[in-house]
Amino acid sequence: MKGTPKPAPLHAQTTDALVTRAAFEVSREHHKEATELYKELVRRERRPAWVDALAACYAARAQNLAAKAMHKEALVLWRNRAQICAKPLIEGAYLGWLSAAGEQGELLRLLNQEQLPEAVLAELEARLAPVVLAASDKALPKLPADSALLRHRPIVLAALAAYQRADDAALAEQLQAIPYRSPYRDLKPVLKALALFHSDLDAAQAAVARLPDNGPFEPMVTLLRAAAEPGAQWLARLPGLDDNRRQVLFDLKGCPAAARPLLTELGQIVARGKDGVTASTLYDLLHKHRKGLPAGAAAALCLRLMPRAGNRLRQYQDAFGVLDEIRIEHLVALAAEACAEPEHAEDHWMRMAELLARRGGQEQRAALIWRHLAEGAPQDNRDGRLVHYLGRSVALDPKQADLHVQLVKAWRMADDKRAAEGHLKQALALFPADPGLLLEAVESALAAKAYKKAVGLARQVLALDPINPTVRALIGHALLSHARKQIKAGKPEAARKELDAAAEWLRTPAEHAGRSVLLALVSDDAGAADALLRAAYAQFGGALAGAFHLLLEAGRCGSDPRALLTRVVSLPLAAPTVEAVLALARALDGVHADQPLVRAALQQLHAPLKLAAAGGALARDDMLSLCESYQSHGDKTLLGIFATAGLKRWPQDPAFVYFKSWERHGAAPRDMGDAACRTLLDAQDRAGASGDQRTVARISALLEAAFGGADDDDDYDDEFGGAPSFEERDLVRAMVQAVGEKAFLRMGSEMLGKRAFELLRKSVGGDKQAMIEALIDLMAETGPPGMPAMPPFQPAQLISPEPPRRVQSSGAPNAPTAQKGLFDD
Amino acid sequence: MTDPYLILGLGRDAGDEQIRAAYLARIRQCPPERDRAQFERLRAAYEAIGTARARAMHALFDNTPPSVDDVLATVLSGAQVRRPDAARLRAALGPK
Repeated sequence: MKGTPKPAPLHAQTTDALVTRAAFEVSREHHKEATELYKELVRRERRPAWVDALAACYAARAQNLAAKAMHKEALVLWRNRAQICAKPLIEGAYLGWLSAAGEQGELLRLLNQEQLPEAVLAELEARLAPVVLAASDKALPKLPADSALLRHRPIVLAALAAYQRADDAALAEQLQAIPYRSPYRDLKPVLKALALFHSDLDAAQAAVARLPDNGPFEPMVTLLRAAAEPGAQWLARLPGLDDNRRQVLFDLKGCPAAARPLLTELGQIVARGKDGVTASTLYDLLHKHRKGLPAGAAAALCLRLMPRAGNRLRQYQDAFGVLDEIRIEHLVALAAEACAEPEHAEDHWMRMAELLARRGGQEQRAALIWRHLAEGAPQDNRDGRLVHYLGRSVALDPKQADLHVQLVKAWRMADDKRAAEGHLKQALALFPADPGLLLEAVESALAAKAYKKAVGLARQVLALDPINPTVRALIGHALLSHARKQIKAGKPEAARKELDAAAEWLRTPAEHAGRSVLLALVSDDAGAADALLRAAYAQFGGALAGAFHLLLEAGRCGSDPRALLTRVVSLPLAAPTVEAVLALARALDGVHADQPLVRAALQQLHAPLKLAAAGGALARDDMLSLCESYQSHGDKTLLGIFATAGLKRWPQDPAFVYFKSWERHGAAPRDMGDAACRTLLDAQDRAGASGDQRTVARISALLEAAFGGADDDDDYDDEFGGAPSFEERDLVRAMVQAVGEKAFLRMGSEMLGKRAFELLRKSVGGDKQAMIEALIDLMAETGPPGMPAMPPFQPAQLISPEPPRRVQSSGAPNAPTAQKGLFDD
Repeated sequence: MTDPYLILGLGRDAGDEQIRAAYLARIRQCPPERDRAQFERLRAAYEAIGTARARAMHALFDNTPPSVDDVLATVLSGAQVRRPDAARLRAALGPK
C-alpha cells in the first residue's frame, strides 16, 4: 500500500523481531520466508534451536516440492539442510528422491563409498535394484562384491525368463526363492501382478490396486496401473510414458503393431480432455492412420463420423472410394438432423426414399424412411404430411400393423372419414386379429351408429385382450349416449334396450349411476324410478356432486333438471361443507360433456356455492383450485364469486387479482382499460416477488392478449421478418412529413398501380387520413418504393449436393379441424 | 461405448439368434445388481438391434458418432494380451 514503509532489511532488524517473525511465518507454513529469517539468525549465532528450526524449514519445503514431483528441487533444499544445519544427508525420503530424480549415479556412489547403517544400506540397495536389473551383464554398475544386488540378480533374471516362457509354476518358484530382505523384494508383487494379465484380468486389477506407491519399481507400477484401467481411460496415460514403456503397455493391451501410432496420437488427444475429442478430430485421425486398422474398419468409422465431422465427403471418397447417390443422400440427411435443420433433412430423406423405391428390393428401407418422416411431421396432420408419409410407408411395407392404425387415426383427424374407412377395411383384411385395428373398427362402427356391429367387434377385441379397458368404455359410453338420444326423442322403449345392452360394459360406480338415472327417466313406475334416482345420487357421492350429476343427466336427455333434482333432494340446498364443494370440483374436472350443458347444471348450484364462498371455511389453495376449475369450464359467475371472496379474505393476492380480471375481461381483453392493466401489472410484480411464477405467466398471457399479441392465425414469423415494427412505421411517417401528404399519396398510387390504389381508397371510404395510414402500414411491411427487398432465407448448405424439390403430397386434405368425438350429447 | 454391435461384441452381419445369445450371455455375466449402468447399456443395445427391423432402423437413423471407446474396441477387436519381449520388459522395470 502507498505510504506503508518498507520493512528494514533482515540484517538491520533486531534479533527479537526476527525470532518473533520467524515463528509467525512457521505457524502460517510460510517456510520459504521462515528459512530466510532463520538463516539470518543462524548467521548471527548458531543457537541449536535456530539451527533445528532452519533444518525443519528446509525439510518442509523439500517435502512440499517432492509431493509435486519436483524431486530435483527437493534434493537441492535437502542438501542445503545437510550442509548448513549439519544434519544427516541420507535420511528420510532422500534416497527415494534420488531415485525419482534419476540420480542413480549418486545412489551408486553412496553404496560404494559410504559406511552406511544397515537399514539405510537396505533401502539404498532396493533403490538401485531397478538399475541393476535393467543393466546388461556387460554394463553392470560397479558394486561391492558381496552386494545382495549381485547375489540375487540371477534369481530375478530366472523369474523373468520363466515369465517370458509363460511358465507360471517356474515363475512362482523363482519369486519364492527371492529372499525376504532382498533388494529385489519389491519386484515380487509387481511380477505376480504382471503374470495375471495373461490369465485373469480381474485378479490382475485387484493385484495392481494393492501395489504400494513410490516404491523402487514405481515406473513399472504406473504402467501396470494404466494397463489395469478399463475402457479407454488408459489412453490418457500414453503421453506420460517413454516409448519403451508405451510399447509394453500396448503389448499388455494386445494392440496390433500397425495400430500403435494411431493409439499414441489418440492418447494425446484424450489427455487434453473431453473438449479435444470431437467428431472432426477423430475423423482426421482415423483418416491419417487408416492403413493401421483392420480392413474396412477405418472406412466404417469415418462413415459414421461424417455427419458430424463437417464437409469431408470428397476426402472420404478419395481415400475409401466413391459413394453412391443413396449413401450421399443418407449422409446429408443425417448431417442436417445433427445440425437441427429438420426441413433440410426431410428433403434428403425423401430423395433417399424415392431412390430406394426405384432401385427395387429396398422397399422395407424406403418404408422405414417414410415412417421416420411421419414421426417428424405435425401429429395433428394440419399440413397433410402425416397421412402422406404414413400412406407411402404402408404402401411399401404393408406388414406394419401399428402404422395402419396410425394412418386410420390420421385420416380421421383430417376429417376424411371415407379415406379412414377405406384404409381400415384394407388393413383389417391384412390383420383381421390386430387389437389396435379392431378398436379402430369399433370406433368407426360407433361413429356410424352401427351399435350391433360395434358390440360384435368389441367382443373380438376382448377375446384377444380380455382386460382392454378402452373398448369397454367405448361401447358402454356409446350405448349410454344412444340411450340419451332415444330419451330425448321420446322413445323410452328403444332407450331401455340400449340401457340393458350397456349394463355388461360399464365398470365404475359413476357409470352405473349414470345408467340408473337414465333408467329412472324411462321408467313407468314412479316409485322404482325415485329409488333408482336416490341410489344414483348416493353413488355419485351425494351432496353437490350427486346433485350436479343428476342435473347434468337431465340436461343431456332434455328433461327438466330442477324437476329431476327435487325428486331426490329438497330445494333450496343448504350451505355445503368444504368437502362437498371440493367433491363437486373433482366431479367437474372428471366429466366429459358439452360445456353449455355443464354450465347449465352448475347454474342450478350457484346459490349454495355462493354461500360456501362467503362462509370463509375454504383454504386459500382450495379457493384457487376452484377458481381454476370454474375458469376452465367457463363459468364466469362462479369464478367471479370465488375470486371476489378470495380478494376479500386475501386482499391484493395476485392470483385472485388475476382471476377477477379474467372474469371481467377474459372474453375481450383488448377492451381492458389502463387502470385494469396497471392493477394486473402490480399483481404480476407481487407474484414475481413471492416466487409465484405460475401467476406471473398467467397475468403475462392476459396482458399480451390485452395489448394485442400475435394471434395463432397470423402468419408472422420472427425468423422471416416479423410484423411491421414501430420503428419501420416511424420511418415511413418521417418520409411522409418530409415529402408532404400529396406527394406520398402519388407515391402510393405509383407503387400499387391505379386499380389497386382505387380499391384501397374505396375500402377506407375515401378518407384521406385513413388512406395515408393504410399506405404507411403497407410500406412499413414491404419497404417504401425504391428500397431493395429482403433476400429470401437460405438454409445452410452442409454438403455439396443440392436439396431435391420437396415432394408434393397428392390428394392430401386441407388443414383439418379438431378430431370430432363420438359422443355428441 | 455407443455402438450396440460393439457393446454386444458382434459383427455387423449378426442375425437375430446370434444377437439374442450374445445379449443373454452378457447379462448373465453382468446382472443389474452387479452393475446397473452396464446392464442398462446391454439392454439398450439389444433393443436397438434385436430384430431385423430394429437393425434396419438403426442402420438408417442412428446418428450417434463413434466414441473413443468404439474406436478402441474396433482396433483391439480380437486382440490378445502379449508378453513384452525380454529386453523391453527389463528396460521397463528399470529406473525412470
